[in-house]
Amino acid sequence: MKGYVLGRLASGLIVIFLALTAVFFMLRLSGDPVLLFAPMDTSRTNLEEIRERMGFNEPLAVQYATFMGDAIQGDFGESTRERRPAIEIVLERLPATLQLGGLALVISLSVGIPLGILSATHHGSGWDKVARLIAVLGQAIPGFWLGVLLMLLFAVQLNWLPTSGRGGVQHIILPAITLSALSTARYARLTRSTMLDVLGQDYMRTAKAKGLSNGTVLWRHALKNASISLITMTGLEIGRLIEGAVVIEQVFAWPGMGRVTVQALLNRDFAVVMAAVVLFAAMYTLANLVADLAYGWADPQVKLG
Amino acid sequence: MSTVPVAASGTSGIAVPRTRQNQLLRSLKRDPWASASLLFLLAVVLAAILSPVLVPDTINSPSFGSRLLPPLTDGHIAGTDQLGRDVWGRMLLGARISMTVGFLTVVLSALIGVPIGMLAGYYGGWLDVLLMRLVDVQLAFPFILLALTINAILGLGLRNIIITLVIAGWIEYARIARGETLVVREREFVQAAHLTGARSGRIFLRHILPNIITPLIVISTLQVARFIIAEASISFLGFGVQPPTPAWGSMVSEGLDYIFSAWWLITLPGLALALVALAVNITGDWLRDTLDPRIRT
Repeated sequence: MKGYVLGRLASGLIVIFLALTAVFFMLRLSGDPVLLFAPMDTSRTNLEEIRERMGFNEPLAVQYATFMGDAIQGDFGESTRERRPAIEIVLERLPATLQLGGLALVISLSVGIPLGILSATHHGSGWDKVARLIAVLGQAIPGFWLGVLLMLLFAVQLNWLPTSGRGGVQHIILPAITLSALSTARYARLTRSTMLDVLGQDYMRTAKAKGLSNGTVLWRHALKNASISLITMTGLEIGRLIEGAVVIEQVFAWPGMGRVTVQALLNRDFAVVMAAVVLFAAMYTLANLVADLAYGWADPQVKLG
Repeated sequence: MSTVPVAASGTSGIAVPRTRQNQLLRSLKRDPWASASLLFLLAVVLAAILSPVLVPDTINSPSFGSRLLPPLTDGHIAGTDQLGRDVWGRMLLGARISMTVGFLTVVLSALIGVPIGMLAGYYGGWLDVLLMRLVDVQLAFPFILLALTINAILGLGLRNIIITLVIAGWIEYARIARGETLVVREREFVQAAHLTGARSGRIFLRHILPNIITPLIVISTLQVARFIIAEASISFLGFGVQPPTPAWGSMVSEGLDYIFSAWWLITLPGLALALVALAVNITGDWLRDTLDPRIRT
């Protein structure tokens, strides 16, 4: 068990290492790196100075070694715009992203799964149609457009909620609903198909035949068996929520990691981008590890190691 | 196993596609949603092809006398934008961008990803290890962030968006081609071909490819929708096609500044996008159910 966790963490580190290497070489090989790192209006003499200061005159191998050495210690360089460590800028925004992503995950779990169950137990009914419609629409509607539509309706037309920013509870409602929408659709879809599978199994008939109440049959027998695929999906879903947050935070000017990364990319502030990449990858690796560990709880037959 | 008699390698090369065609047509008649989606997509593709003829060259030049006209005024069916440009005409040009991106990225990703996946699945070894590591990296890295980073480094524009999406998207094809090849590799007809001394190229093209093509086609339709939405999101964030060229995503983000006065600027281009994605997904679901009922996505 301990070995398994360590192994997974090690492979997570390899992934982060590869991602960093890829970004490092893309930045260095796509032309003169100083032009990527320096602000647009830098003069020629200043460019030389920056080139010297950031070590772009060194051989590539040396630059790479220095970069990795610093990165291991959490030092991704200084933001060219704010003149302070890039990792600081990204970490500051982490709570806002965790808050938004966490709430979105809670919403999609608590709406998507019951909807999927209703849809499976009342196969072919009105609930089923609603769930299937949501699943189909959720796949097709781009997140940023849904956000803009909700903003138009609830903030502009009805004036119930603010259009953007972070502050009170009312600020998080629209972005969280937008972010959770696609994920709700995926949970409803998966819960429905998994439950339909499980409900057709022999042990379900046995459970009913021996006179257990509908509730017990559903919760103890059906849902617990369906939970395995729901847990796997949650690991992946956290990654998708992170991805969605990159766009949705921009729509609602939510000051999280996604927004700071997009702004950094627009400002060509690549030190901040690097720091964000590492943090995103780390969050994703951890989420999947937790999902794997949760298997052991849901299905004692699964042996990790 | 698929219900369709999958290409029995060479024996009846013509008969098999024909039954498959008939089966597709028959199931299309039974499925009004799929037929409607296909017709709609056909119309959008036609509009995209004909848009240079349908839309006057002056479409992107400002006309300040007619700023922010609501839909259905003065012959502007979808109204005009903040510079007085016709929104419907710009949406037609936007269709051209979305369709080009959707089609080219899927074809290019498949051309790169499928051979690599087949080689990795058939031979295993270092190529396979490397590929699976890449899959891990790609999974741990938000797709949109990867696309934005590549685009920020390469520079903005339609060509770079396509390159970006292919760099981010080929791995999906490689992953699926690898998995399917792993299964097919063990089948008797592949072993037999190998024993009779068939060259590897022949084994790949005549024996493996026809047997893994169905899931690849189904994935491709879903990928078209994914790529079109990805391009729109990238353009929405300001990393895509640059103004004044209209892409649906950038039209929505430009319209966001006028959300208090002009609802049509943000709703209509987004609606076009959602309808195309919906139609592609419905078509994809129908293709999957018809061609290969064993795949569940």
